[in-house]
Amino acid sequence: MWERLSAVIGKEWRQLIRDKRTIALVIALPLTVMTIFGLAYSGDMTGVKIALAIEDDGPLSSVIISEIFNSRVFDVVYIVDSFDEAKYLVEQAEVKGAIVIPAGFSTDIANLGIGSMYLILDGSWFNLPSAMQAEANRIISDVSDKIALSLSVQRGYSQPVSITLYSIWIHGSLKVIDIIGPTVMGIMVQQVPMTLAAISIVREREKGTLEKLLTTPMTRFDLIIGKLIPFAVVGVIIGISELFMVTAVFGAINRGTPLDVLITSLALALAALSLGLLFSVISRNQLQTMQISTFMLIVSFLFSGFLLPIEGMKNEIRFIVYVIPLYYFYQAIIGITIRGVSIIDVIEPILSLFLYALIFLVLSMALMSKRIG
Amino acid sequence: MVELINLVKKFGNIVAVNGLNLEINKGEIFALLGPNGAGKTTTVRMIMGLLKPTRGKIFVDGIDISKNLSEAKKRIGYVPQFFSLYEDLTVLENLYFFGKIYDLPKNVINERIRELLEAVNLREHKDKLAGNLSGGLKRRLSFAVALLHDPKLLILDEPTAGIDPPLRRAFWKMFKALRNEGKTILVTTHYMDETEHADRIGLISRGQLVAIGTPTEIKRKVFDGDLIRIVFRGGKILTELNAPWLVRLLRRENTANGEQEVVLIVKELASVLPKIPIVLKKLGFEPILIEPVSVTLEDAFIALTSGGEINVGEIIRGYW
Repeated sequence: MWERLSAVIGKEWRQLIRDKRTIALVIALPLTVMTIFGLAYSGDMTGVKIALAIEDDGPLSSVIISEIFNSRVFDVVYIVDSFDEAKYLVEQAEVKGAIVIPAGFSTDIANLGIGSMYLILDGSWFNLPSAMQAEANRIISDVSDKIALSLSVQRGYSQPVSITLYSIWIHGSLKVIDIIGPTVMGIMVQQVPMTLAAISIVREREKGTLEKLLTTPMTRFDLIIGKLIPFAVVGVIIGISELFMVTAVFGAINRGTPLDVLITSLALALAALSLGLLFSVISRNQLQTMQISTFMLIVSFLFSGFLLPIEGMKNEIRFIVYVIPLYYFYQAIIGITIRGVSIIDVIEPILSLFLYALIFLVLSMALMSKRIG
Repeated sequence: MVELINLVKKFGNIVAVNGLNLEINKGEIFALLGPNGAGKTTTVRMIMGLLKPTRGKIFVDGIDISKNLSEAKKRIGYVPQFFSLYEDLTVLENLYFFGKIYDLPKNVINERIRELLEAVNLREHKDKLAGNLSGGLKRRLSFAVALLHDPKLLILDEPTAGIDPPLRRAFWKMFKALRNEGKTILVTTHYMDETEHADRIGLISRGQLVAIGTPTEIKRKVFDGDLIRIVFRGGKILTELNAPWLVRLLRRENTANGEQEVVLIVKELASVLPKIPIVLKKLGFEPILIEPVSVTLEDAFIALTSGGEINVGEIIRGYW
């Protein structure tokens, strides 16, 4: 028995290490994922776009303003005069949140030692609001101490200062399924057609049918587009059924029209398919293709921004989100299902997906022609 | 129909095809014969445009394939070495698919499929999945697909490898029938015996053409003539023979009962055969047996590709 067992072990081991390309993938993939992950998320969160509403023109608010501008976490992209303007910017998803210094802030602190501030948060971004709250609280605590100290020096007696931060939520009643559900649907719409496409050409290569096809008048365009269309239909069918499940069965909200969701899904499916076809053209066997698809799945989870905010990634690494179709989908679908805007308002990421599809299709065709020899 | 000019294909340091010059005429069955690894499949793949030659030119029906491959493809029906149709489609579905790929009109596709299913005897299997067919039936389906667009040239890469002799014979019968319809057929094979059926043979070894000609011409090339074995009695020992038709005396041996045996190489068997008894009698010998020695293509092949001396004894013993 041991002889037989060791024979099988020996054979498997030999076969595993013999195919250099596959072993390179098997070892390189986990290492690459961890490397990117480490490089991306080992720093602090930076560059969260916020609006700053300054209603108070007293001397103390300038202390807070400079502290907010010094924050590496916050990136103030709008300065407005009122709470309502700041809230509007958050609602329009121009910013991820807003800090409001209300009228009378300076006098309240000076007179009573008590002040309040508002943090407007967009609840449709997963994991981001809590990070914003933490940073806002840190700023307030620092600023309170500074103000208390300077007031004490001025007045010659100890003056406690207490600033209360009130969080105001836009889309605050959202459940996890509302935020994550549509994007998980996107993962399916991305992965399933991509894997189908990725296997399709490499399988024809392995089976020898590609050789036969290449001796016919069939063009690369016929082959690539001919494969793309049925797989895109599969992608849309997955989109429809997933949308039904996540909304009708599990109660996630969808404030957009189903048609808009489907167009967004189609755009994602096309981009994912073009990527899958590229994988198929460059891999030698189905195992390699499966490895690359798995890699893409992990990368999409970690680096498309829907679970871990992109703001948590180091700037130098952020370019990686642009090669992940799911990133664009996530940007668009949040607008449609949660904010309830029409597809025109999120046309930018959707057009990006179509452009993405076009680029990778052309690339697949170009690389395929090289492969014929 | 096919012209290869100084064709070279290198894979890294390995030279698979090394300066091949070859012309295949319209309407002939041409067998490209050679051992495994001689460069047959590489050559065929270059003709099909699947591989790009390192050097050299390929013309198919007068078309330079490096300039107009798609036009050339329309004239060729190709049967690869291994089954390369869709196993998860039925026989009919495969045929329809390739008919459409060749841009044939629907009524033509239907007509051709009907004819071809009849011709290759696949009609009763038309609704089976190609993957469920036996090896022989798969080959027949591959032929049918290759013939769908009525190509002028049919290229078959090792079509008879691994199939039983009756089916092999049937295939060659089919090749002949197609040739008689005016098609040109290029077949690669490593079975010497079956190339007897070809009109011409190109013998290829290590990427080079070693010999080309009809089966008879190839065999004749080995000895520069035909072989005759003569057994006779009486007279002195025959060591020399002068005759204008003689190329040379290959071998002489004393056998039992005081008989002698010689093997002659003559220029052309048919005209020499009746003259031999006369010559022998003139010299005082009594002929017992006069017979042509049939050289098989296998003998010729080994002699031509090994480049060394042929072992005549070995050949003759086989037909003793």
